[in-house]
Amino acid sequence: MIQSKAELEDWYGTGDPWGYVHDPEDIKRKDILLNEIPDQAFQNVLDIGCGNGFITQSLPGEMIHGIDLSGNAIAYANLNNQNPKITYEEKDIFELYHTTQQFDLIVITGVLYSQYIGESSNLIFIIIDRLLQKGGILVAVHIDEWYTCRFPYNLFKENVYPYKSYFHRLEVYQK
Amino acid sequence: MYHKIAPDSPSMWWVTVNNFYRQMFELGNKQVVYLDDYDPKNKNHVVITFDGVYKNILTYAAPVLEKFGYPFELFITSDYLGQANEFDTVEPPADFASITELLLLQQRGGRMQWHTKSHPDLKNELNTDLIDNELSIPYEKGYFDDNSFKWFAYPYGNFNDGVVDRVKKHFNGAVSCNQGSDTDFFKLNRLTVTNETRLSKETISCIIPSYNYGQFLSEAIESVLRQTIVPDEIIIADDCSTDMTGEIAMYYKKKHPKLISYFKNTENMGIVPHFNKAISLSAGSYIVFLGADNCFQSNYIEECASVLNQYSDVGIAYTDFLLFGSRAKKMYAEFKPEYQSVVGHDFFKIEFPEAEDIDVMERLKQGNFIHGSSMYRRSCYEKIGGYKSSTEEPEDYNFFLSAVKNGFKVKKANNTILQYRQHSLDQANHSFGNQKLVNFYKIRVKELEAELAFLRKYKIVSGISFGFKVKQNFKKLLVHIKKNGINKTIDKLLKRQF
Repeated sequence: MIQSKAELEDWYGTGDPWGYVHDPEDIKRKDILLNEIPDQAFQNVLDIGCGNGFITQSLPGEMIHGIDLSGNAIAYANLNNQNPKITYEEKDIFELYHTTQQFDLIVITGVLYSQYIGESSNLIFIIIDRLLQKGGILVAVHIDEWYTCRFPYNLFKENVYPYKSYFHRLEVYQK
Repeated sequence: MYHKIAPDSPSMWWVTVNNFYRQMFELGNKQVVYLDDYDPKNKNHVVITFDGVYKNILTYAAPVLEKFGYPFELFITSDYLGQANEFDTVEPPADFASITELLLLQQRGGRMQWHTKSHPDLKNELNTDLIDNELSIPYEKGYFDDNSFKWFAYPYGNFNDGVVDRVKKHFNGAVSCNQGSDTDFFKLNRLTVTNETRLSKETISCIIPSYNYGQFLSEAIESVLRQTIVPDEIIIADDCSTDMTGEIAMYYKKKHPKLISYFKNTENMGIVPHFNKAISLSAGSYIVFLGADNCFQSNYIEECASVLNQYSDVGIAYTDFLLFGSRAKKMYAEFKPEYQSVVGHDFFKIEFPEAEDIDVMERLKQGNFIHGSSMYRRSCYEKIGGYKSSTEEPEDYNFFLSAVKNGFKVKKANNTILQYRQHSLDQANHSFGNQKLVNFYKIRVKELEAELAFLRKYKIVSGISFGFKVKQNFKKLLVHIKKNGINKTIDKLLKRQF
C-alpha cells in the first residue's frame, strides 16, 4: 500500500520525525553522500524527496532546489533556510514531468520504495530523464533491502555501507 | 481497453504503471493507430483505449504513451467529469478527469470519444428518446478538436439491435468488450487489459555463463534483475567452476525461483559447447548472453528487444560498450580510432557504426563490431546451427559473421550500453579488493543472521523443545484440556506456562 499524503503530513508534523539532525548514523551517511558527489562545479541542482532539507542544505551548486510531497516538511525546511541559493517546494514527484528546467546534478534519497512509488519506477525514469541534462550526474541513495531498480544511465560508482540496521546503496550515474 | 493506471492496483480495473509500461513495450512490433485508421483485417493494427476517463490516465499513462509515441482514444462519460467515482461503491476512490485535464490529454495525442452522459446499461433499453439523449454530445463544435466524438463505447460493453441502430446515426463506429465481433464496425470487441496481460508472444532469455567468475557474478545478476524490462528467464550457466559461482547462483535462484535457473556442467566443456548447451535449455524467442564479468545498463534488455520488436527483418541488435576495469585504458587504445569515443570517470566508450551507414559484411571482415552480448532471434541461431569452434576467430565473431552471410540484418540499439570489464587474469583470481563481491557478502551475512534469529525463535515455540514439554506434561495437559478446552490450552502452551 502506498502511504497517503495525510499520513505523510502527520509524520512530518514534527520537524525532524526521523531524528536525522543529531543521529551519528545520519551525519555519517550525509558525509558519505557529499563526499561521493563528483568534484565539479554544478549550476542547477535538484534534490528529490528532500524532506526537511537535511541533505539539501549542504549540497554544492549555484541554484539548489528541493522538492518533497509533504507540505509540513517543506515548511520546516523553509523555516531553517538562510541560504538564498536554496529554494524548497511542495511537489509530487509525478508532477515533475511538467517541469521544463534542466539540472546538471540530481540527488534522490530514500524515494524509490514501494511505500512511496508503488510499481512506477519506469515512469520515474522517464521523468528524471526529462530533467537531467546530457552528461549530468545523478546520485541515488536507498536502503538496499527496499530498493529494487536501477537508473538507465552509466553507473560509474557504487558504495554499500551499513546504515542503522540496514545497508545503504549509494549509486552515482552519468547521463 | 484500460480504465485506471496507477502506481498500485487495488482491483482488476487498475493496471500498475510498470505493467502498463511493459505492455506498451510489448506493442513494439505492432502498429498503434487511431480508431479512424483501424483495419480489423490488419493483424498488426492495435488501438489503445481508456474508458472513464480517469485523472490518473493524465498523470501516469500519458507520459508513458508519449515516450512510446502511441496515439490513444479516450471514451468519456460527461456527467462525471471532474468528480469522484463515489457512485461506484465497489471500486476504490478515483477522480475523473476534468475538462482542462481532458484538453491536456488531447494535446498529448488522445482523441475524445463518447461513452454516454451517465453510463447506463443499454442492454435492455428500448426507449429511443432516452438512448438519443445519452448519445448526444453536449459540447459545442470546436470545444474539442475536429477528430473528436466519431466513435462510441457501449457502457459495460452491452447493447441491443435498437441501440446499435441509434449509434449508427450518431457515430462512425462503436466498440464493445466481448458481446461484439472482430469485424463489425459498430460492435468491435476489445480486450480488457489487466496486470497479467501479455501483448506479445516474444519472450526473452538471458544467459549468464560463468567459469570461475564468481567474484563478479552477483554484480552481473543484479544488473539483469534491475532491468526496466526484466527478461522472461535468466539462466546461470556454470561451466564447472571451482569458485563461489554455484553458491552465488543458488542464492539468487532461491530468491527468484520462477525467474532464475542454474545448471553446472560436471566437467569443463569450454565456451562453444557450453554456450550451445545453455541455449538448448532456454525457451525465449530472443536470446542474449551476459558475460559474468560484465554488466548491462538497466535499459539494455528493453532497448535491444525494442529493435527486434520493431524491425522484423533484423536478426541481431548490437550496442556500443564501455570499457572499465584495470586494463580498460589499454584495451581502449587498441580499438580503431574511429570507434574511440568518450573517456571519463574510469569508463572508456567504444562507439560502433550504425549498420545503415556501412557495408556490414565488408566492415565485419575487417574486424568484429558486434559484441558477444548482442541480442538475437532464436531463428537466427537455428539457421546458423549454433556456435561453432574456430581456430581463426572468437566464437561470437564467427557466429555473427555467419549470421550476416545467411542474410540476417543487424541494427544498433542506441541509448543503452554494455559495461565491458577489462581485468587482468591476475585480478580475476584475486578476490580481495572487489567491492561488489564484498557488498554481496555483507548483505548475505545480514540475511543469514536474520534467518538464524528466526530459526532460534521457531525452535523455542515448537519443534523439539515443544514436543519434549508436551510429553513431560502430558497428563497435566489432558486435565487442562478437559477443564478449559483445547484453544486455551494451546495459548498457555505458546506462552510456555506449563
